[in-house]
Amino acid sequence: MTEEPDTARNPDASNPFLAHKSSLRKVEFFQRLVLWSSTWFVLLIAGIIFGTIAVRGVPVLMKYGSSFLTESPETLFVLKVGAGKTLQVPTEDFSRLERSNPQTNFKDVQELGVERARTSFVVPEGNYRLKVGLVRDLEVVTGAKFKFLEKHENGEVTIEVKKKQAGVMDTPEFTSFQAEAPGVTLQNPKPVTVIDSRMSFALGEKAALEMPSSTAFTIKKLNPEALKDVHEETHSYSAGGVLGPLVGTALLVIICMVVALFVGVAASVYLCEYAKQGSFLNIVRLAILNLAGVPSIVFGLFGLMLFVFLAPKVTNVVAVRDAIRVPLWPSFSEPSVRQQIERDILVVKGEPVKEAIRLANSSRSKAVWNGRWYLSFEGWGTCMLAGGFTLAVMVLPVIITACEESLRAVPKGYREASLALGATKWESIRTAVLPYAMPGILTASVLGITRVAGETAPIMFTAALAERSLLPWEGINRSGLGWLFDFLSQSVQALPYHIYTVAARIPQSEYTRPMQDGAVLVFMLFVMSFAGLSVWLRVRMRKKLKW
Amino acid sequence: MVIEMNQETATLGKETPDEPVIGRIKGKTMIECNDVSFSYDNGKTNTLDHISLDIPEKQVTAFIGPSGCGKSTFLRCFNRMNDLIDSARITSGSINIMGQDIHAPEVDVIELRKQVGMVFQKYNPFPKSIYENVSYGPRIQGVRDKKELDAIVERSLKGAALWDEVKDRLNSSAFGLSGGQQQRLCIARAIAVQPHVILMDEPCSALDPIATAKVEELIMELREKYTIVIVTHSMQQASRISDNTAFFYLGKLIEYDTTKTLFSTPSQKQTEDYISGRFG
Repeated sequence: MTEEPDTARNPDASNPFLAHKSSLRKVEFFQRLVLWSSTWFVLLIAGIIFGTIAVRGVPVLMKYGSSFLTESPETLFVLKVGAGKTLQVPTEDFSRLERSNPQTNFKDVQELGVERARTSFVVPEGNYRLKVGLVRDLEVVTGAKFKFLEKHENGEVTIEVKKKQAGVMDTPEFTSFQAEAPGVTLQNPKPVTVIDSRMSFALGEKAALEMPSSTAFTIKKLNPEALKDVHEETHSYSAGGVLGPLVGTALLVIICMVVALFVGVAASVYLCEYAKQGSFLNIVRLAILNLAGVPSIVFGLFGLMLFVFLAPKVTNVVAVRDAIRVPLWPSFSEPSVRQQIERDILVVKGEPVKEAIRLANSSRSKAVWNGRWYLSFEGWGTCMLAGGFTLAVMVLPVIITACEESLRAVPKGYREASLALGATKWESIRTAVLPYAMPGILTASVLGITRVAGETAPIMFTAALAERSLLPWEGINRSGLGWLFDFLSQSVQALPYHIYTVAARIPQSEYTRPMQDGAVLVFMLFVMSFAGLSVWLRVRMRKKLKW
Repeated sequence: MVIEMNQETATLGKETPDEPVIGRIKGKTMIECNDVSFSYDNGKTNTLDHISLDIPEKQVTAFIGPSGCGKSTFLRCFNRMNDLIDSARITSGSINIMGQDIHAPEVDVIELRKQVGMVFQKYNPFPKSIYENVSYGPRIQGVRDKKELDAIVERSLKGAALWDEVKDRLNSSAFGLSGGQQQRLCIARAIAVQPHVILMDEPCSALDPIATAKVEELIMELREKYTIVIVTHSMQQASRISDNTAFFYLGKLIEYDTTKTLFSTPSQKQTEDYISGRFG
């Protein structure tokens, strides 16, 4: 070539690789723009959701601190107290008052020691007859459990005190107890003085003091004169925290996980490894697919019908309701008198079940024992077991699909190799297939379960309560297996239901809003920790299995 | 020229003889096949067509033939791995191993597979440690004692000529080994349960020449204790390591003879054509 082409001045001259501006390039550019903006749209929406939750929820958590997570929801009392009056409260309640009312000017704060008159006494051996409520009080103050001998018509019961018990009560309560239970002679009454630590304070100016219902009850009891005509407002669910709902949701999720994983993995192992191709398999897959499309409220109604009203239980104490009952073996131990009173059981011996129920109906009992064990299809009632099972059924399609995918991903070579070494089919699946499918199963399952943890409709009908003062494991009076049954038949509070209650079912106020925001944030953190758990599980298992 | 070619193609298209030739095989019979036919689709078409041969014990028998002639299928009949396919079944004849018909109703296929082991074409060690791979078989059989398992693992790895290479990393992942080592690990795993027969389905086809040489050397050693049936695509391999060779074509057994005879003076024209590379 004679001359160098002058590409600076005439760039098109000799460059054969120049881009041509064509319509295809324009399409390319816009396509990329569309993809990019879709991704950013997702990011934006996620940011808005998480941002709003965080911005509204974090101040609530800061204000309440860890008590938000360790206390159950309570009613908020707002007492409008005038200036100048001196009030006293127990010391721990005072710190709560200070925390809940950071703007209030507490004056003249002093620590007090107030004498409380108590009486110690001894309950001598013997049999006594008194009202059931008083027996409970006696058990609380002596720390003993008395055997119930006989129950009487007017709500009284005869108890047996085997060994003499010592106890101590506040003196006014002691006097009223003696008056209400003349049959019980409490011996050796000795005065005992106890110093309660209290704080006394006054208010600088008229203020609206916010406090949870337990504190309100105490402060009114201790200052009856000062707070006689004070104006009070109550706001439901606006004090305390979310401990009850959090515990309830955790229990429901655990039961759901256990049931759904067991049934789901078993079913998909059968579908993948054992079932023959053909119409049965197609029907099953169709059924699973349709199950995934059922609305959550229908699941709630289904759970209500099936688990709450119709589920079978093996019991010798039959609910006073018509249901299909299959008689089993005879029962030799009558429920104790205490059980009869606490669970409202009528004991009739030898009557056929229909007659027994009729008798129990007329004596307005809730259950009847007639000397036999039954397989009774009377349902489990509203309880965490019914809720857990309903949620499990909801999440089954997700788990079965995830499980099948994971099982298929395990190379056929492992099955063949283990079979060729003389393993039975189940041994081969258990040792050479399932362990390698587990990471995939667990990841997808945990994510699916996280989703159903937030469902309100299914648990509304089957498990959830709005208000509950005790945690599910408190207040159960049986032991051993009986404790487990009683525990599982408790209703629970649940976080999504709590959010729904606070946000939609009670009148909104400036006090309910923070509760709602705080509960939503706690729920989001709960969900995120579950998702984080699934990622961690997957990483751990992959590292261990290395394939 | 034209006539010669026609003659050759005429030979190829000729009906295979009804009676396959069983020549000078010596030795006590381990596997006896009588008139075996096999189908993958419930009898509609036969993949294997009336095959009769006897495999002697403690020798290496090779199955050769072009792709799709049924040698792997036939091999998998010996440990009933074809049972995993629903529509597959033996349509005629019987297979006897150590004198017992393996399709008799009282035969437990699990026990059969413990005594007739298999090594696959694509090596497939479990994603576990080397130790756990080799001890898998004995563990399945109920051996729990650690000392006993240690002894079995050592014996099997030595028998597979792998012990020296892995003895100080028994707990490392099996996937850390090279391809040839993994295949030898699979062989160790197979011999850990001490079978009578080892079936090998193209064990070297996924390996490089050096690994292949090592595995072939191993097979020659294993011959002293185990009966080995090997399916191979490579005629050179068959001629190197086997005592007897059977040539299959389109589901039929064409010729079965000692390796020396089959490769030097085959009695069937088809065998000769295959060996000299005219087809396959």
